[in-house]
Amino acid sequence: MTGTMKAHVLRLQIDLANDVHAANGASDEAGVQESALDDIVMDSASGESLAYASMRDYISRVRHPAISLQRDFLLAYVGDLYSDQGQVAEKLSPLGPVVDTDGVTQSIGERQLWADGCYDRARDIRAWSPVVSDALCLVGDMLRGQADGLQRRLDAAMEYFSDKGIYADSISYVDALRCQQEALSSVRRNPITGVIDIAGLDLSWVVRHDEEWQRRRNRATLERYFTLDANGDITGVRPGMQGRVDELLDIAWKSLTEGGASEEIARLTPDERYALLYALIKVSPQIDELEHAALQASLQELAGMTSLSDLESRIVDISNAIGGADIPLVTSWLSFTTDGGIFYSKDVDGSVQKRNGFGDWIEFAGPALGMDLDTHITTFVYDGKEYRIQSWDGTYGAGLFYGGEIAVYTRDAPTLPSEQHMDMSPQDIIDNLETLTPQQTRSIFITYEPATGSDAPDMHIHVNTGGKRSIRRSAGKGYWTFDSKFVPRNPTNGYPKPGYTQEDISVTGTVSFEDEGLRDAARAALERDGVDVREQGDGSLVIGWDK
Amino acid sequence: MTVGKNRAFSQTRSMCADNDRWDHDRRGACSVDELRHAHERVMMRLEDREGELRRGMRELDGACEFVHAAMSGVAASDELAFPQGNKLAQEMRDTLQETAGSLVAEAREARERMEHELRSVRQHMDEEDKRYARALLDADEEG
Repeated sequence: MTGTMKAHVLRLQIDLANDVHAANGASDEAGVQESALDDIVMDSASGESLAYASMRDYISRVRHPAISLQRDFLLAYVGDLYSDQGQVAEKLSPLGPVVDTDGVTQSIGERQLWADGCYDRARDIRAWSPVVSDALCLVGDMLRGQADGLQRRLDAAMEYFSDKGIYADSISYVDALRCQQEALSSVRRNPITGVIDIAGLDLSWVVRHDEEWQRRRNRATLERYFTLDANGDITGVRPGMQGRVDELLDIAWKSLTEGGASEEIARLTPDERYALLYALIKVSPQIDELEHAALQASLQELAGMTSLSDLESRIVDISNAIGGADIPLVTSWLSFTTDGGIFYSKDVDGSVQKRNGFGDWIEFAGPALGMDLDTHITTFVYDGKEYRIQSWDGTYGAGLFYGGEIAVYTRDAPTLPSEQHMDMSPQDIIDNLETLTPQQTRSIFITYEPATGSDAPDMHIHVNTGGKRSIRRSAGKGYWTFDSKFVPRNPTNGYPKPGYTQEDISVTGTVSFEDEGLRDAARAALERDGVDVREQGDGSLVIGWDK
Repeated sequence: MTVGKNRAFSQTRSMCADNDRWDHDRRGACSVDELRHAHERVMMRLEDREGELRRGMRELDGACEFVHAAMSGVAASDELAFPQGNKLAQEMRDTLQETAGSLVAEAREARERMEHELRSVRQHMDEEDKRYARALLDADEEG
């Protein structure tokens, strides 16, 4: 390309930022429509009438693929805009707020001209002053170097101006979008029968939503918020997205430390839910590593002051002194207290845990608090409610404590398929992170409320370990019991004794429900999930969540 | 730096040494013509040197003016190329300005050395004139 180009870089950057904002907004709106059509396709029963069936067919085979294609296009367009922003920053910005290729060419020529003059003068003056002659050569070299540098930048700018490939991804959708538009405008509805006729439509533009498509879609979704490397690791946040990403992470933090997270979770768009989940899963292990390193350093520090077995006995002394009483703020806010060396939870109204309830996604915020846990989830419906019985076992505080938990949560029983909870273990979620469907992501963010009243069972927990110690405690009636102890350490070297790693620990619970129907439903569901469960003479269930 | 300085002064010193030698030789009662020829030879060499020094000084002045012109030329073309300013171009000009400043300082030093030598050459020319006049007078008295 040899033509003259003049570009106002700042104006271009502002226009691009506006376009990114608009395209992201359009993508969100399309996402909401796509999600709504997803629900309609999933939730509407078929076969009630010919007109109804044809409407359902139209939505699932034409309307939903159409909005989905538009969304693919918008996500590709957002990606192209980000790419354009990057190119402008890299190739135009170095030439200043206004790039005038003619002007820069002249500036390069001017420098080259004066450089040649400097070399001529340097030759003439060498006999009189070699020092001044050398200095003139230096100025000449400098001018020539600057001319070369400007030429490289000019070449980069020209490359940008002539690059036809920046919007290639989104342009590749144009033909399909045109076909889709024609198909939508060709749809006819019989005014007498109400039947929608799609038989003759060209549906060649419909994209098959297989796993590869979902992977691409998820990657494009994430790239709205983050920059990612080839492994999918987050390397940065997109310009203009930092504020929203901070808000998303703040919601995650609130779910662990404050109330009100569940309402905010309900307001997230499908893309935001996926981006938050992805960030939690990708970032938490890094935080976990940092915590382990910090803990190791702290323990070495402590070992210098006192032996770790002394530390443990001191903790037990403090625990005994508290004796299960409420610890100001800690118990009311976080439900925790301690007695006999066991740190455990109480069912406290107003505590963070009780106010926020629980959902699958909160598991991934766990590593940020130094937890390394295994968990089992069983859900079932009984008498208009869905119940979720969950156990956890493993280590806490970056390996300083071991313990286990049992909890019972509820929510209104889902009436539509789209509201169903999809059973996925945390490991399943991590393994399928790149190909999670919006339905799976929505399920991961379903919030369950703590079981209260007659739904809350009386619980006794037994945390089994591979070492000599274990934890046994009657927790009483409540929705949740958490019990942990200091990992015993070898008094000579301070290392943890064997048998207290996450793999060594399991939980057994004795759970009594007031409602026999609820008990039977729980037992059937646990058996269905392969959990070892048996009923005792008093009607309580002994549940062994062995590994 | 010292190379230039030594070379300039060694040329003048060498001419002065020739002058001294001639002064010593002519005590051997030379003719007026011989005195005049010798005097003209010395003066010619001193005048040549004076001219060379003047030319050198003009070259130095020219180099400084050239560098100033280059700075102005580059600044003017940059102003056209980057009407709203440009950090990179400004940095480039600042670097050039710094190097040009060093060049001008070097040129000023070289010029001062040349001026010094020029004064020395003129002093020798004055001395030669006096010596020649004295020699003519001595020749008259002896004649």
